Amino acid sequence: MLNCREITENADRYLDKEMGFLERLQMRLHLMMCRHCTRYVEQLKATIAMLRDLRLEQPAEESRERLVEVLRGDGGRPPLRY
Amino acid sequence: MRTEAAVSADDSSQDEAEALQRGDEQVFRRLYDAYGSSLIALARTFVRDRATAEEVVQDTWIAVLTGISRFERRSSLKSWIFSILVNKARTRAKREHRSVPFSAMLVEDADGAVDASRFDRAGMWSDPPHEFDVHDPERVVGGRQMMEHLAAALEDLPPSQRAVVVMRDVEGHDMRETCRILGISEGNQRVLLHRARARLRSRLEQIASDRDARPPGRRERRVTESDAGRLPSDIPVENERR
Repeated sequence: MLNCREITENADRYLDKEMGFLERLQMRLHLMMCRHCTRYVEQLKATIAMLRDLRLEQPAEESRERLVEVLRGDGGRPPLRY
Repeated sequence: MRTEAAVSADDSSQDEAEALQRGDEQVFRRLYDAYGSSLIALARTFVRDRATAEEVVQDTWIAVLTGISRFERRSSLKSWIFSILVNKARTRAKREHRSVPFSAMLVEDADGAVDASRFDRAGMWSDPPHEFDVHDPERVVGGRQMMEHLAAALEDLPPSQRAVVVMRDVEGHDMRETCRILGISEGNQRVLLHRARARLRSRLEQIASDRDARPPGRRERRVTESDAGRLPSDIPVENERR
């Protein structure tokens, strides 16, 4: 039987489905009986979901437009069309 | 990593690569906007500041645009772009005599997912996870949305953990691509990802429960003169879930 600490150490492998059948079953059994660990796993899952939606700082638009000039072949670099 | 493990490029990668080769500005702008922030975040794990990271990203795009004809389509275009970035960032870090992340990663943080003091001797919770609303990332706590707290917590991670979490969770690369691009083993990737996610969850729990732990009377009160000089995060926010 897994204890709570072991659940927290394996929770993200569980969420990523990187577990064999038996190990997964053990996790499930524990989670069915333990609301604290269920809460832990839900919080971890929500954290991962928030990371997916995270809006990090964008690079400057002017950098992008300088690159468009490179793409057009007039940025002092070899043209792209052959 | 075995190279044949790399997936063959899907149709969209093929189309995008051909479009870049033709000089399609719209496709380029779309790719730049889609990957820009993650490329900078990843570059930041190698180099010392944001300005240098922006230069690395700029060099990466120049290499992509001038070298697109050499894209061999053994991986997705996205993976190829991220691989170029990592190579450029590594070279830059070496030139700056910075230690490259992943060189000493397994000793930088050896804690468990949750502080050991929160379990009893049998490994059962003695201080169980504090409840916080996991379904409202825009909820404001301490003057910031949970999302912003998460972005700040990400910045505080050790570089190699940050790199892995940006690749896997922010950018959605799979494990194999992440290992190949960062040049790390699956085992190391797993450990770094595990630690990073556990730390981030802990930070959110801590931030949310700092507020939740306040006695109800104090939580309801208005900001008063005595709040002057206190950090915004110390001041209880009313109706913050509205």
